[in-house]
Amino acid sequence: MKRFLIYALAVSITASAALLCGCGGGSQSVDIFTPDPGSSVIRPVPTPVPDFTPDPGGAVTPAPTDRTTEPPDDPASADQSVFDDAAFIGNSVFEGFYRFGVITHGKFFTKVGLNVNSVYTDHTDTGTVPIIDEVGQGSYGKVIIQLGQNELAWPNTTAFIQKYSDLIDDVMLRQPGARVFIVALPPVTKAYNDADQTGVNNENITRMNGLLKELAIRRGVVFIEVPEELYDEAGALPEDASSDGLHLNLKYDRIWADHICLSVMKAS
Amino acid sequence: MKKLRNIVSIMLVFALTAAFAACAGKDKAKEYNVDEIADAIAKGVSFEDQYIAKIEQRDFALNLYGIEPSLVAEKEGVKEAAVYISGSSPEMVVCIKAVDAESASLVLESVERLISTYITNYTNYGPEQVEKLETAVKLIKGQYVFVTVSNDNTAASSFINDLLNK
Repeated sequence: MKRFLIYALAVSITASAALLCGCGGGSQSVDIFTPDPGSSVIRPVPTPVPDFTPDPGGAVTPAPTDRTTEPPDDPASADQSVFDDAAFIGNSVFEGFYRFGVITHGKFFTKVGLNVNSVYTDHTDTGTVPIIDEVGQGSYGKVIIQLGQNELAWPNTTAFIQKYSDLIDDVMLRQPGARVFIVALPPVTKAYNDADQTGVNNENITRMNGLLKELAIRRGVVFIEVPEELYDEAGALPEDASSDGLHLNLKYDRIWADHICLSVMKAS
Repeated sequence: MKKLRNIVSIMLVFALTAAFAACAGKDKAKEYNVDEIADAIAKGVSFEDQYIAKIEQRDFALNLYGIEPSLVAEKEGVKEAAVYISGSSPEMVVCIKAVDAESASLVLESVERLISTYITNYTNYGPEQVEKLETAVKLIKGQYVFVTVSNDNTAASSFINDLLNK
């Protein structure tokens, strides 16, 4: 009996040991990467849009927060000295601020037809290097970007958002201490909207602004909404705001500029 | 007889003097008020942009065109430069009094350089605007430079010449 018990105990211990070894040996982690046969480096499967990027100062950006600004209501309190250390990057819609002399502080890197691709190839009227590099030649505390109208006709808005995100990366690389602002696209007039055949219409603009706001939240940059004065009752640009339905005239450029100024003041 | 000869000589001197004075009056350059001319052009000429607007800060306007401020005349501390621009097209009205005729040529060169840049920019972005730029009205009258890019430059040219010759 005693021998039987010893024998049974030995078998139990041996079986338990075998089971435990089996568990340990069998728990190989599954490699989710697809190895490139031609390389010694295992490449991860790329994600189309970066989920989160650390703050360039090294600190991990805290949980995404909505940094849409709510500016004070009084345009008279807009103080453009807040733009003294600002770089403005944008297309012809943004260039109106510069041409009209509505914003006379800061430096403008704008050009008709500019988009998230041509920022890397085109120079300003007075520059000689691509705009993204021209921005890198100075030192700015703020970089204020307004792009998107020329990309509304693109078939792939995901590509646009990815390029915009890449642009933010490259701006931060060249201006590591700068605060980045994404400016929403103003609407177009009803007449322009109704005549549209190229994708530049208010439905697409609204959708684009939604994506830009999400991008701003994800990237921890400031999103500046369109002021309510740039919308009529139907959500279009007022007819007296623009001659061609897309580019603002002097009166409405001033309203928009004051709003951006107040937004930047609030965020600074 | 001698007395008659003297009288005729004196009368001839007076006549010649009067003739020279008249000629000198004709050679004196005409003065223009650049603001009044620019305002009249902005109202009287056809522009695609119905909201073409005057740049209020004159120094900024000169900077926009790359015009050296020292080339531009001043009146009571204010630069004699009136500029209208469009936010939606390359249309413009530029009326500037330079310090002298040579400076006026340099001012015009600066304006032409910007027009040339706009031609490059709009060739792909808005090719329908290029013809306006290429047929821009450009006039130098003594110290004065007048440039207009409009929806109908032929009509603009007639309008501006009539205005300047009034």
